[in-house]
Amino acid sequence: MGHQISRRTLFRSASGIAVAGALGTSLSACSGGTGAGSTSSDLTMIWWGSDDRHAAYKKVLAAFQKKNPKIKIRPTYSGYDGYFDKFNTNIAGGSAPDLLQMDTALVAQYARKGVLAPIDSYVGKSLDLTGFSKTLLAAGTVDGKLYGVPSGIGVNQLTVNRSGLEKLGLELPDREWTWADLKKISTDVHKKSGGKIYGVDDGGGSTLQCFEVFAREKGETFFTEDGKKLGFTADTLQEWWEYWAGMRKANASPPPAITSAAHNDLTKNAVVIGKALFTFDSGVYGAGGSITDAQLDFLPTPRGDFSGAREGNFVNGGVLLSATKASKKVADSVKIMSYFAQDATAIKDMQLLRGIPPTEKARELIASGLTETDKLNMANADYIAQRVGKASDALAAPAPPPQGADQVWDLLFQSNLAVAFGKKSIKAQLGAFFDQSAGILEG
Amino acid sequence: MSAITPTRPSKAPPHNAKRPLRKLRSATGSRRIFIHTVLVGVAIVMLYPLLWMLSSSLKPDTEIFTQPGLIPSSLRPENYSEGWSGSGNSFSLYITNSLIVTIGAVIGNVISCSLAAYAFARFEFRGKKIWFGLMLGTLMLPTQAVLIPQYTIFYNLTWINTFLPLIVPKFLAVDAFFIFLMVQFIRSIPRELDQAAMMDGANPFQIYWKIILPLMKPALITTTIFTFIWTYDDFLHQLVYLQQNDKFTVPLGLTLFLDQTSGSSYGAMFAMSTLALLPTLICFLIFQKRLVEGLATSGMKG
Amino acid sequence: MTVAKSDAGAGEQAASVTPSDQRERDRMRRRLARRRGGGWWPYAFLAPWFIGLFGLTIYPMLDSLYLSFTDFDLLTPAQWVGVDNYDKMFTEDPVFWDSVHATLLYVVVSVPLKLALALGVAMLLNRDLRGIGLYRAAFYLPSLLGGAVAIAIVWRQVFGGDGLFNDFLGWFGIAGQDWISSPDTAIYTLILLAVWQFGTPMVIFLAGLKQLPKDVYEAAAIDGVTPVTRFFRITLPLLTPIVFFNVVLQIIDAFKTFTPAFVISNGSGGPLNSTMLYSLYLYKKGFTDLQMGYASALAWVLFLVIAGFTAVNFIASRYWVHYDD
Repeated sequence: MGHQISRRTLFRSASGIAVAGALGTSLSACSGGTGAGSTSSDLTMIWWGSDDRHAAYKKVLAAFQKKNPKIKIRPTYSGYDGYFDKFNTNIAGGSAPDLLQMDTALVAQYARKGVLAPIDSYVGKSLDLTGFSKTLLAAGTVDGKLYGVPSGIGVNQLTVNRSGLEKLGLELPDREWTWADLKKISTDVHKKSGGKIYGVDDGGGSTLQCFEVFAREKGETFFTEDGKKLGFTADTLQEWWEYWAGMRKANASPPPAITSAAHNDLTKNAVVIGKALFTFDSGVYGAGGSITDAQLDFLPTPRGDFSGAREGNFVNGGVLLSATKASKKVADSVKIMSYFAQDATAIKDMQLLRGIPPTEKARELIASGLTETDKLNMANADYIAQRVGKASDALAAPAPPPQGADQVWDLLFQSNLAVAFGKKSIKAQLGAFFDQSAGILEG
Repeated sequence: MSAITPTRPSKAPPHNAKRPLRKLRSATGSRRIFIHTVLVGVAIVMLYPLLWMLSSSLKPDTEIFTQPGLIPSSLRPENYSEGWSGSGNSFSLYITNSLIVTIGAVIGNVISCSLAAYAFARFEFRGKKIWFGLMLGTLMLPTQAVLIPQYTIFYNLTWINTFLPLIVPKFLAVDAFFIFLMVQFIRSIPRELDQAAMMDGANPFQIYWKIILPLMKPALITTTIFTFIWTYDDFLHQLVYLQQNDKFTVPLGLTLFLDQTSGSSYGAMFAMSTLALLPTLICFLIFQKRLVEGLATSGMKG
Repeated sequence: MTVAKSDAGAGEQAASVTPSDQRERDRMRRRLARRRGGGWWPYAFLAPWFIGLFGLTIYPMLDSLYLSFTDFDLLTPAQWVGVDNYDKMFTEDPVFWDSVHATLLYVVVSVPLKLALALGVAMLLNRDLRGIGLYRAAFYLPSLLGGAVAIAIVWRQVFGGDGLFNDFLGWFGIAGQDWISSPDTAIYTLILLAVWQFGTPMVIFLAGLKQLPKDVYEAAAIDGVTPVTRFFRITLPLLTPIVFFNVVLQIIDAFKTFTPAFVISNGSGGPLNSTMLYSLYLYKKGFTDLQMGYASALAWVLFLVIAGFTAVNFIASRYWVHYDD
């Protein structure tokens, strides 16, 4: 997997000849970039989301079309399930859409395979990125080129059941809290609830909100810049797993069965089912909606409490809008990206549906219409963004994760679970983790 | 036709035979009650998930997972209206699209598979065993492995974003499952019936039409039920071949409610999942009735 | 109609066929054999199937066979790598063996249970009872739901830590656990789901039972045969073609099971790969990790295994399946 590909193959693949090349038949007659089944004059656009996001997208696109009657947009939307399966099949079959919502976790992989169009040349002309910070744009930048415009800022935060804390007579920790503080309050939660509730869900295997921040506090990245290796040491991971083993032992974190059940399943999240009060899963509160009726609040991922600890938090990019390389309408797609990024009505219509808006200006525009929890969410994000911006010791924002990243993340999760279930010792699992990760990243 | 003349009459339970008629009747009555009790008990276990789904479809999102009991503490029927109107397209569109695909597939499968099955069950021809093996072989490769090559075929036919890739293959008997099913059924129909018809001068097509088809009604009904339900529930192929939202079917429409990254409408999803069950349930109820009639009415006379 | 192979009928049948009948029948058989052997009739009946086979099925199959010898990431052209994929699978892929283990366990446990339950319930439902249609629908409902997201959520509720199943165990003083998320028990919840969705073989059994000739039973009823004898001496032998069909298809199906594993574990195959059924692993490799070449190789290994099982089934069937033709 992940064999090196030449520029030439990159170019060929993008025009949808991938399969044709593989089969020895010729699809070149239909290797255009327009969406299948559409007339060539339509610009095809796809995104995933929930009902609210679909409605908002459509509203913004309708307004855009009024201003740009020449561009005919044909949107297709769905849930996340199957979204990239379909996209992959379309590309393999030679019918990629022109414009798509892209996952920050996958952008590097598609960019390196030559599926996406670099859009640097439009910046400052038809693509207005005023107010986008450099760390934010890093989310869409692969090997020095911009492949997608971030829809908003994503931060590493914990979601807290504040009403649950208050019920136990505990106070919401300060935003400058440390890992030791997390352990203390989590242990308190378990004690004060009479052993019914744990403090925080087991973060030993979760990456984005959690271990990556810890590694950065140690001055290490998760992946190296080129994405070919792990950027952290075995010592760091060992220390991390030992911290969480201690958390489980102190009943500050739930046993592995609860962790395992919540894997990829928000509905079984420890906070949702009332088994914990802190969670690293940011999905528990999404875009103005929640599946728990608790009053929620938000905190940054804790600081390191060892000497020489750096700022580990960073700002990420929500989702991206990207154009495909095979498309003949990249210029039009870029116009749409720019519209989403800067137009006041577009920003107001979108609210928080694609994350917290990327620019100060946009955040001000929507502030008045937000719910109480939305406001808390945005306040915490603002706090983190400012703290990261001021920090002199923070590492550069992580590059988009390389191909195989999701396998490594999954491995991290499974490894922590194996330790928690007592199937493996930390030492033994460390070796296995580093071996298998190397195998995945080398391809 | 020879009937079974069972072994020894002495094997029959003697007390049963000696029982007076009235007692016998009450015995079967209590037996009937017993059967009903067993059936109701098992049915409740079987139905629990449906009830849970129904109750969840009436709860607010914040309650579905935090209070997973069957009785909602507050009702939220808006889940249905919100789910039905959806964002832009009404859910009725997805149901209509699903029905088009499903009914097309049913007709295709019943016709094409019964033709092929008749040939396999009743004729000897060159390479029959190899063809039959090949037919079974097409059942054995996982769908996921042939999805991409199949996609390129339909892409070249410019059938993407139409219902054709979902319907036309059914007219070409690609569902080997049903061919095999029908072969097994035809083989349990006595050949004497074919022979008699042949003596009367019927050609093979007439035999197929007048004798085999009526006699394999249970198999055809089974095919109808399964094709209907499996096509209706099929996510992967519909996902890949139907691109635009106005062509979406029920399984695709249901995904529109769920997105772990931007918040989901679980209540609406459960509401529409419940509603979406109705067509398959109705289909099952209608056709299972035919299963009861089965041979009892069509009889062995052909 | 004959039940030649059942002990009860064998002697009677010989007695009821007169010599002249026999001659007539032989003549008929020969004429029929000529008709059966030749002509364009079978090809005419098979024409749609041939078109489908060559137009839509063979090519994708061969193509996936070709891809199994390549490195193919869907996005760029495939590159020939020989038997690398197969080699890697057997020598350096621990998850492959996890999936083999999970799948074999799944097949071996779920198929017999599911078939026994399906046949039992089909027998129970094969009668003229008030409201029988509703009962049938109730028993078929779980299968109607298929692999819907809703079913997965329900299943996780029922077998979760504070789920219904543990409440049930609680009545008997048994302490439960989270069955879905423990690596030792997760696969059994999946097997239970498969068994619970026994609707497909049940309907096929029902259809088969309906096709059984009534006169045999009427004769048996007159002679007062016990239900148990009736089942083993009459019903089961007559039903063997259908039993055979269900056995073959359920085994194939169980090997290929994808959706339940996918929805219950949210596509992860967890905990600790304990529910990583083969097709799920194949799908993950092909569509999530974009290793379609490797996934194709996985598919062909599965193909060979299933073909082997099916061949054994067919050979064994000569000894226990009774056809009427």
